[in-house]
Amino acid sequence: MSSRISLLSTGEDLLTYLNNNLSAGVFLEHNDLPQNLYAALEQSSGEPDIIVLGLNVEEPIRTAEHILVLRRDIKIIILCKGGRQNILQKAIQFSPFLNSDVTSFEYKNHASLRKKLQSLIDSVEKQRLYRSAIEVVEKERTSIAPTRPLVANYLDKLLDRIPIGILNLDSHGRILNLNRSAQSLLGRSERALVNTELHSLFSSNDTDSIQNLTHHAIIGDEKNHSIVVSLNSLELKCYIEISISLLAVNTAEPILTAILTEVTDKVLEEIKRKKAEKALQASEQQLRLVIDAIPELIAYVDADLAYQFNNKAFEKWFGFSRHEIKGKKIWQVIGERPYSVITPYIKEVMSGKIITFEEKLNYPYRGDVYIRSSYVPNFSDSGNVIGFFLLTADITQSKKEEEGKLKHMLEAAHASRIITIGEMSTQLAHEISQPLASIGAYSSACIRLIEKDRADTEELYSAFKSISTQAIRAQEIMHELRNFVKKDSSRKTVSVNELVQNAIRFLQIEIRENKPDLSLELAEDLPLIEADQILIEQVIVNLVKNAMEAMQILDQEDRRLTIETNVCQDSGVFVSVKDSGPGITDYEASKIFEPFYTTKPEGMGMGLAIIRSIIDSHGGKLEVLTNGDNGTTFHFTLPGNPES
Amino acid sequence: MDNIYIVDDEAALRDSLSMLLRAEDFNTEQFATPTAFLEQVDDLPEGLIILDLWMPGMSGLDVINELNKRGVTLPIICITGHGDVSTAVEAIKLGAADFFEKPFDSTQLIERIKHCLQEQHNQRQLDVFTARAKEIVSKLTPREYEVLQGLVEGLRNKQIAYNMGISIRTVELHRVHVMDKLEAKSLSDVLKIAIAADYENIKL
Repeated sequence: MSSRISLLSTGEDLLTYLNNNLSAGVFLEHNDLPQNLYAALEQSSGEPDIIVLGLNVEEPIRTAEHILVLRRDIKIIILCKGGRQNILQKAIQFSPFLNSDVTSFEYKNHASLRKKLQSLIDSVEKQRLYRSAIEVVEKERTSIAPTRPLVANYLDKLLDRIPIGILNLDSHGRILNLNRSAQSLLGRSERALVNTELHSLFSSNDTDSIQNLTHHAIIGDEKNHSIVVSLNSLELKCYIEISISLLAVNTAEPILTAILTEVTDKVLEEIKRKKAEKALQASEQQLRLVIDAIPELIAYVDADLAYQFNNKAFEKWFGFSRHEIKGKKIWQVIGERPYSVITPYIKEVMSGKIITFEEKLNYPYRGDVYIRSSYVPNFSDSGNVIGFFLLTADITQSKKEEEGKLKHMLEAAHASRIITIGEMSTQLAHEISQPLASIGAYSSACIRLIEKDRADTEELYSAFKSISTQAIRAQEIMHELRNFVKKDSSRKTVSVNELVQNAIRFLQIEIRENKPDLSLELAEDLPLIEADQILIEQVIVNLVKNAMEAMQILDQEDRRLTIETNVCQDSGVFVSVKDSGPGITDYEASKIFEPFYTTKPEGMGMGLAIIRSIIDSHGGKLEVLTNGDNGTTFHFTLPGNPES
Repeated sequence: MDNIYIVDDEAALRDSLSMLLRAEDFNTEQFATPTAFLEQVDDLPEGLIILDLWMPGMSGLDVINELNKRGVTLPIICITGHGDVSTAVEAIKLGAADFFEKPFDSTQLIERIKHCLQEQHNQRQLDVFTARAKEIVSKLTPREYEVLQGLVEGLRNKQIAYNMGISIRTVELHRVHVMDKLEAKSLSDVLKIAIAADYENIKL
């Protein structure tokens, strides 16, 4: 009988070489894929005596195991490259499925391999001679043998299919063998992994814990704990759970089984959950801080009228701690008497209405307290009221302030007069310098004329009249300054129509020059009002002067000036001064009453500000209307006489 | 009689100033707005401007700028509001003669007006004299002009003759012609005319 040698992935040239050089009668065959070899073995067609696993076989140990599961008594030679022989030999030694029929051979050249095979063939021939003697008996005895490999085959396939990485380790944690899932989990081939220390595959941070786990397994710590480590060698970071247990102590060295499970999804989920939890916690804390910072009392009361939640202000107000308040009924916290006052409101909110109310409550140690409360019902999913939020402010202070307000208002008006005096001073100096300069010039002129004996009575008379007018103007300005600080003393009952006429008279010279189309629409039945005559005259004079200045750029025939008086509500008076000038923009209209805002190059920007404060001090209102292309209207109101 | 142009929006001030100045024998003319004044200023005879710097519509400074642009050289006295010194300073920089703060002293104002008018008058005389001097100096022959230069430099006839390489007699003859042409009675008249005519070329 001849020996059969099956070559797996060794290359065709080796086959040719061996065909030519081995002793006659040796039958050689070559397979490229282990599957073909397995199939041949399963069909029992031409069982080989020796199988050579070439350098290209990726999983030589597992292939050897697979072969031995299918057929025992086959010698297997695993070819390896220089230096790897000892490692491979050890892996073979510790594999629970391999026996001494499997050997590793360091491949140097065809000749050395031929020599090895030749000696193997010789021993196989001897064995076969010996075996043939007992073959008959053996055959009868092992007639039911084929069942076993089927079971082992099934287990082997199972190990390959399950998505759990299974590795056997030696006592130093070096990998002896592993299933396919373990390879794909670790992302390396069996050749690369065998005899590698397991912990070296993971980050150095995890080295200690993996070694620790290994140690625990060796000393038989049955707690069987696992750890989760991260694997960075891949593009994506993934997490792997490792558990290690003692497999067998059948040799001098214990063998460990490590089970690797990928838990990336679980870990990422956990990280996400923790983040979300933290964010939620932070926002809850912020909300709590905000609520505690609110000076109003905030609380939540459940359907049994017991407090479930409250803020710091609430604790301070009642002098209880949060812990003490929680669960107490309303009346137990605020007292029976105040509770009886707010009972109707509680009923209302529990019927599902949002309510706001002001009440005076009497607290035993606080006396009368004014509160303003808002109650907001809280609904369950089914629409029932399951409690309400309450927000209560202590308005005692502002209530008291309100009472003193009228008194304050009078004082404030006085104060504002004094303040505006400061603002007025520049304007005042300018105003008063005008009549003074005129008086000076008129009187000097008179003196010169008299000195020169050229004085003409008519001329002197006219000059002195002008002097006196200007002197009165200066006096009035000074007088007003004094009156401005005096409280209401200069208020008398006046006819606004008369004031308008006075103002027109005062502006006669200007009106003659400007020559506007002046129309006076003065209401006849105008009520008399309480006002400061000079100030209101000043207001009208200023508004008319402004109007004429605005119309200066127009042709004379386009200048239209309308002054209107009318009755307004509560027997007050309404005065409007309307011009046909270029008008002002809305922006200007919004700024025009501010002190120091001016559109005139030399203006101080004080005029309208002062006018407004005069009208304000009379309790009236000054407003400006932009008439589009048709100029500007200023109008003000003066309130009616309270007695009439 | 000198003309005074009063530009002020304040009627009372304009009226009183006008009366004051009339009492001092000035002719006055009133302008209520800067625009009204600027419309007429080119046709106005010589005079002095009293200008209020605080007017609606156009500022006094704008008026001065406009006058400068048009080459109007009438003296300007500004009237300013109370405490508005910065505007006044600006006006002086632009060439105004002086400024008065309201209320002002009438006597001082009149003195100042008279002074300004006198200065203006002097300036006008000087201008006329200069123009005349330039005209007659230009009529001198080159030789006569050279002799004149020598006289201005204070040289004696002998030196002039030496410098020019001509005889003293000839220099004397030229000198007589120069005196004649310049209508000068003395050497000092000659010098005045020469300086006025060619002020910028005088070596000091």
